[in-house]
Amino acid sequence: MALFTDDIQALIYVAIIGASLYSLCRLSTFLFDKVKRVPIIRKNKILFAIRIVSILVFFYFMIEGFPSFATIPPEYTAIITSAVSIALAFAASGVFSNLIAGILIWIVDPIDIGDVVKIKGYKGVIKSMTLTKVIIETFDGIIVEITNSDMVSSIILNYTLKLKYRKNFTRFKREIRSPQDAGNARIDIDLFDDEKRKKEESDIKNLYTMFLENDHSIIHAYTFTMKVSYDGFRVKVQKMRKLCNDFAEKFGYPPSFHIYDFSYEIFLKFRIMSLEWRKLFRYQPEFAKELYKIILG
Amino acid sequence: MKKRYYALIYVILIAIAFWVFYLSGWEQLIIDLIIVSVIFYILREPFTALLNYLLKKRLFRAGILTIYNFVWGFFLLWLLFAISLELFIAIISFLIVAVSLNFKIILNNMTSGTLLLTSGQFEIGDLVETNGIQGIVQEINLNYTRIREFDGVSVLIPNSNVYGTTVVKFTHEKFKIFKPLKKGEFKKKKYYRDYIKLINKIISSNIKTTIYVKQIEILGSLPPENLDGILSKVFDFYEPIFGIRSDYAVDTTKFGRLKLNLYVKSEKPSIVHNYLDSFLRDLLFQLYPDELYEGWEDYKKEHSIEPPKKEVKEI
Repeated sequence: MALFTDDIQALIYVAIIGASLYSLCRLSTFLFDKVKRVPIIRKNKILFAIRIVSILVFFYFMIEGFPSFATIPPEYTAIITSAVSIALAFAASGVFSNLIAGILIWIVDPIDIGDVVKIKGYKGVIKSMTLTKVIIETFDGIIVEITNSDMVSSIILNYTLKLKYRKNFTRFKREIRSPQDAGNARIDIDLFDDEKRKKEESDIKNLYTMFLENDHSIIHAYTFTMKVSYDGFRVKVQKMRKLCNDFAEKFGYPPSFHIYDFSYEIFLKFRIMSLEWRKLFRYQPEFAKELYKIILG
Repeated sequence: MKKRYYALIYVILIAIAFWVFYLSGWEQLIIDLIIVSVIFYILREPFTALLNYLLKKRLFRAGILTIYNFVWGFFLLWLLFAISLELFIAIISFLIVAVSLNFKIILNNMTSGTLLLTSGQFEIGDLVETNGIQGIVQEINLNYTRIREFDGVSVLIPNSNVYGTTVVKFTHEKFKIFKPLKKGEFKKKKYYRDYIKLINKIISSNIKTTIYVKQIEILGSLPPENLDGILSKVFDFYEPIFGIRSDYAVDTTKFGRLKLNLYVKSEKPSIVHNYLDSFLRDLLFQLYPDELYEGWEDYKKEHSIEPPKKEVKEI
């Protein structure tokens, strides 16, 4: 049953309703501009709601108001309804992409809350994961929200090691070591003796003790690069090694470094291991600054 | 917002509830479904907080919350169905199309993953380069290929990115060629066991070899006639470690520097992965000892650095 008796009357009424709804929106905007007490965020939300409701009311009168719409046979109505909903679905499909990707991420479980990662150029720790987005706090202290559909289609670097065998020290050691540790790629190899090897072993044991005491299950192994000139490289390496030992207490384990490339300069990669991402975020810039002083000092 | 505004909102909500219950004249089912949906909405926050408190593992929390949301969604759809069949059908068709349109990302990655696993493009444990990432393939799952880079960092690359792009394979199969047997040897039937051994040998002969190409630049300060000797020393030292002797080829000269390709070879990709950086370190120290050790002796004396107690194995 249509709301109005004939089409002409319906047209006039719908036009009046449309104009009044538009005026209402304008008036509410004007009034909210005048009222200073309501906070701007709330103002924005209320205005948005008024506009959405106005559009819905207008469409309701459009569909239900004209008597000639009621005379359309039900099969045609079904066709029109499905066509309109499919068209709307095409237009609004992007909204659902995050949800679907969120379910996929939940099944595949590539990353977890507390992991230190690099996604789309943003390096940081994962603070929260919902069905639609992943929230990252970067090293600079800003919050980045990455949609799940972006997550599914982008490359993720995970600096966090998830340890499977927590109770066995030998396995712990094997899981946390980098390929460079396995291949003994330390640069100050000319000074490496039994005493240093024992110290290295005791550092790992300390880390393992802390790991067990605080009931951790993950370790962050963050890497970054620096370029060093050829002149006096060995002296700089020695200074850097000393600096790494100085930072051992701050990170919980001395950072390590190795050569991974050379051309006009020598490319060094530093690896910092820490049980807590907060320590990593706090002391890494300080560590990098001290390195800069050695490299260019 | 001030408390009187909240009071106003609550009064309006109570008025609506009163109207729905007593004055609307709706069916009891619709009213019940509205109440259920509202209860689900109100309980969602405390339920999430309780889950966060009870369950440590995010996977379980997310799973239970998803089930909660699905049940709530079911009641909402039932409510729509009870209100109007046309509206229900319109919304269902909208949801089906909108959701299925997005399955393309998932299907794309799953299909790429299946193709990667079945086509033999590369296998787990191979040393590859794709999307600018070099490392050993660790896992191919529903959505991602996990590669362990040279510095030990795990990188997750979407399967469709791997399948749809160039993959440099440093590890590949190489067939061994056996000497053909003489005709007379095949006729001796009593040596059938040897034949079986031979067949097995031929079947398992496609051993994998990793040839990692590392491009480095040599400074112009190094006399060209010294290059061969220095590189040979390092190659000789690392031959027992890698199993195969490394090699090099001159690529080009640029800005007074020499660009060359080092071919680091081994039967096991993990050996290349582990020893590449120590190989580069020794190469560097052999190439420019004067520049690198500049001021080292003075520094050692100044800081009284003692030589290692045990002799270090050097090149």
